[in-house]
Amino acid sequence: MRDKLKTLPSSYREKKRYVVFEIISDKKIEFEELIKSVFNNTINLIGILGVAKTNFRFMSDLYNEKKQIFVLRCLPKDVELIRLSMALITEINKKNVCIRSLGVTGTIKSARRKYMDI
Amino acid sequence: MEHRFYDLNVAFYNEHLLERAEYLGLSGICIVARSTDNIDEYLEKIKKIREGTNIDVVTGVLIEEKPNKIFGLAKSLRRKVELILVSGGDYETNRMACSSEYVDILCHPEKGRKDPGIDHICCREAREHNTIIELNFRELISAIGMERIKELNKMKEIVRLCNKTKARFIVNSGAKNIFELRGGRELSSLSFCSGASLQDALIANSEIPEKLISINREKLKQPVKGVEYER
Repeated sequence: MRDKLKTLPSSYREKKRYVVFEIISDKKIEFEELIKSVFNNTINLIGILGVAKTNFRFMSDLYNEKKQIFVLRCLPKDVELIRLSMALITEINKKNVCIRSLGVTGTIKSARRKYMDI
Repeated sequence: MEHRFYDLNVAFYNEHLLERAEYLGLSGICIVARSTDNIDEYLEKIKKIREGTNIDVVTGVLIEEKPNKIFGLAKSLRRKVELILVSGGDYETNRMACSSEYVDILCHPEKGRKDPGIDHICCREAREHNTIIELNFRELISAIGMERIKELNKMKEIVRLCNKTKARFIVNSGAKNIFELRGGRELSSLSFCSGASLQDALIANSEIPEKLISINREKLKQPVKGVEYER
């Protein structure tokens, strides 16, 4: 028998939201230090169980190093929580930063189209 | 509907501030004067800042005095500046600010305390006298570890009391440098996470400050309270 699961129908899948953020900083932030800081701060605010419940994911292939834009995935009800946890970041690797949210989308495609000009 | 977000407690000024505030999507900021001396100099400075910017720059004074001096100071400043803020923390100060008609915003009532700093009586007074209770974003940023948990807990209690008594609240950044400034949605997310509904959280940082500023500007135009003249 096949070991692979069948793809769930779209109505059975959990709803997602993609929150697009921009880093405002004098110096460039590297991908590794960003991802470390994002996870540390989110776990710091909502805890491991909270992060697990929000269906949280850093969309690494949507990271735009030039524009310093990154995308996080979460459940629709937890968008504000993720926004707050990003707003609480003031420093990444001793560089002063301010992270602002550009917007929220329902699909990766629209996130790319609206905020990344792809 | 697009919300016009305001940040009514910015404690510094430099040449990049307005540019950054506009970039973050704020429609207006209040650059707060911390001392009550040199008010005329401060008003002149704000007048110059207002030229050549799309952002609504509001004048305001933060009173950090003993409770018995707050009333007199607020009364004397009422006809000079658009907003009067009181630095809270002490229960007597908080109570005085909430029950004064001259005070617009009570800032960080929970500062340096183990409790939220306001009770149901303060909240009721605040509702009756149109005083807004502030949640300070900077207090949360500067706290780490257990302190941050306690700070969030106190904010949650303030929002709960405000919801119960229908008093108004606002989230201000209290920024002391440019990296502490936050956008409107980020500020609203704090009150939402503290227990307010999304609608209330958005209104707290957009419609409430907008209304407050327009009312106070109207009052400043009146030579005597309640009297208007046409030119």
